[in-house]
Amino acid sequence: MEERGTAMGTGSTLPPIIHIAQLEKILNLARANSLWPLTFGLACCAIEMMSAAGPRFDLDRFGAGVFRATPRQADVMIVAGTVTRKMAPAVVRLYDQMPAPKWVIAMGNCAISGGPFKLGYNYSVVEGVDNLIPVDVYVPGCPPRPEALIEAFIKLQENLTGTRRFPESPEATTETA
Amino acid sequence: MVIEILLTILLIVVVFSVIMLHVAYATYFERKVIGHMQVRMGPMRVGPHGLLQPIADGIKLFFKEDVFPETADKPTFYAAPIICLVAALTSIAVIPFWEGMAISDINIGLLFILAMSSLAGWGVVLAGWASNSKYAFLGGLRASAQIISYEIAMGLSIVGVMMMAGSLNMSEIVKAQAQSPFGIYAIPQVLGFFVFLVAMLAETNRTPFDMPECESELVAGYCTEYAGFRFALFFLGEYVGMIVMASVGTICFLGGWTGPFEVPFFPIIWFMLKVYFLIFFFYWVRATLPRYRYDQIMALGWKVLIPLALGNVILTGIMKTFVWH
Amino acid sequence: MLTLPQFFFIYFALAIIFLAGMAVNVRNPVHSVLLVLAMFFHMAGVYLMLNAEFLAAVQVIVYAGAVLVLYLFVVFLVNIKEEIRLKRFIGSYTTGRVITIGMLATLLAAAWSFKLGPAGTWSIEAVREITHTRALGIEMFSHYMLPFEIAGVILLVAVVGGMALAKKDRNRATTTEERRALMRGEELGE
Repeated sequence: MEERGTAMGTGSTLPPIIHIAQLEKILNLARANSLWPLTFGLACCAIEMMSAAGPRFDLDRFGAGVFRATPRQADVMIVAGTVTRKMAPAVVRLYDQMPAPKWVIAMGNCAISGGPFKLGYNYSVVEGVDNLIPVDVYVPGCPPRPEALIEAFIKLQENLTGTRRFPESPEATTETA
Repeated sequence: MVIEILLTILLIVVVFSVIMLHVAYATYFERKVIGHMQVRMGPMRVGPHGLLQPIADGIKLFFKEDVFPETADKPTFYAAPIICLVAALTSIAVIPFWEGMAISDINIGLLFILAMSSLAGWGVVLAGWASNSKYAFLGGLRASAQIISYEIAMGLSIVGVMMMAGSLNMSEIVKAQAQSPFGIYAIPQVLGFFVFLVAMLAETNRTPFDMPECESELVAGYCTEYAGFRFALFFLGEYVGMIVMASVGTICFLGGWTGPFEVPFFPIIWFMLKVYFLIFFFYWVRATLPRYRYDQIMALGWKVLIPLALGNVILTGIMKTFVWH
Repeated sequence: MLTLPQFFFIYFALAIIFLAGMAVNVRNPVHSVLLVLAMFFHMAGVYLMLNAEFLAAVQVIVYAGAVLVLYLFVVFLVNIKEEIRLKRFIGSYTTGRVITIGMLATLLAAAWSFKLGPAGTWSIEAVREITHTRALGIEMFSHYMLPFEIAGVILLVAVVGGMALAKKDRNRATTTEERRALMRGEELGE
């Protein structure tokens, strides 16, 4: 699983001039434990996202269970599904409407790089949502399992706080970059 | 004189902080209760069993960027969440928590609470209009129409209690319930209790009547354009409104602070337990029932609840004049 | 030195005058409705000072809570952007000012010649003892029963009139099937 991006999501505000380390640590801890997702399910990956919020793979355990329908109250935008050219301006507008600090999780192969639609004669699919907005965590899979989405949240929390919540599995540590 | 004022201020501060703590943990308990009703666990990782979740939510909301839509009306946009929260918090002042303990025990306690809930409806419609967005505006209009319709039903359902107790003073109402079976008015006033429970859900914009609220994915709701701490103010106002309505329900229908046996050093225990039960009822209904459509909400309020409440008033009048003393 | 009740009365009176003046002077109709809301709250305060606590609560519930919300609905239907752009409503300033000053002079003259009427049957202590609600109820349902019933009938007329105006016209087609039935020459049966 790849990750890229900063601990502080890009926003429209200027970064603070004075940094107080202890306060920032507490703030990042609070923000990591209370990531409210924006329901932005576009296609099949949305089913896996809903299933991740369901009883079997409960996302609410990590504080991320309050899905808000409006971008003004959401912290993290889970782009779950194929982004078509028609939908692209809406994606950018929603991202702009989110208040800083904000993060983006690109879920599924379509959001990462166009997925199965990345062909020579592709005319309608945006090949990867990172052509439109900065992405923090990529979750590969077609569709990724709900546990992969939970791992994405744990990765995002690790990005913010610096410490990982659960130890990584031995298979995952043998990844090639 | 000065000592009295200082003591009252201290009392206000204590009650305010206790209510705020209750509101914060009411959000936590909602997620836990609804989670368990859906066979999953709510917040578990943020502190032991998720107990620090409301603190994380609060800190995060407080430090979010303050978003302000460019074409929105600045003074009204700023004032709307404050109106909601002020209306809800002012109602706490007239609620007696135990014998002789209310911040201000006025003779029109019930009417004061009804007046403040009308004011909360204003905050909603102003939020919808000030956001200058069509979804928010529609949501605000629907919310205010719903609130003024169910206000009538709620007021009428309490009239039966007022008639039986003979007073609008909250402490008097609790004391007058000693003559009813089991010491509660819910048994003679079954109709009134039912109408009050339904109207209570609609007044606080809770499921199944939360069509205009933010929870609705159909139309985005009146607090769409509010981010960060302003949204937290709306949230707080909603939960304080829930606590106020649950308190009014316990005082009018469930016997207030009276209980089967006396608990020393903790006179608030029975009041607290009854209020917790009614708040659990709020969450229970939210986890169980789907949302009403807007025309169904209006039809229910005007065509079912108001006639039922009026019938209850007439029945109570007849019983009081001819059957009881 | 001012006593506390005097201080509050002066505050309420000045606030009512100021808010009412502002309400007719601001451009945005919604702001003017908000100022009227604040004025109603201060009027409720004046009622409280007259020992009429029931009236104060009812003022807030009915007037500020319901009537003004419906006013606000009507204001929403008006195109505000047009209103704000208009410079003024009346053609010339002098006509408006002459009429206003004339009305003010008439009102002041009337207020100056104010004489107190005969006192009512209830003294302040009696009202305080059995609470204003009960006193109002006793008076309204015994001595003023007829005006109460007349007010009720007037409200009933308004409700029935509203229902009659908003009734669905049975002979108008509202759905496509009904229109087709009308064109075929059938009657609309419901």
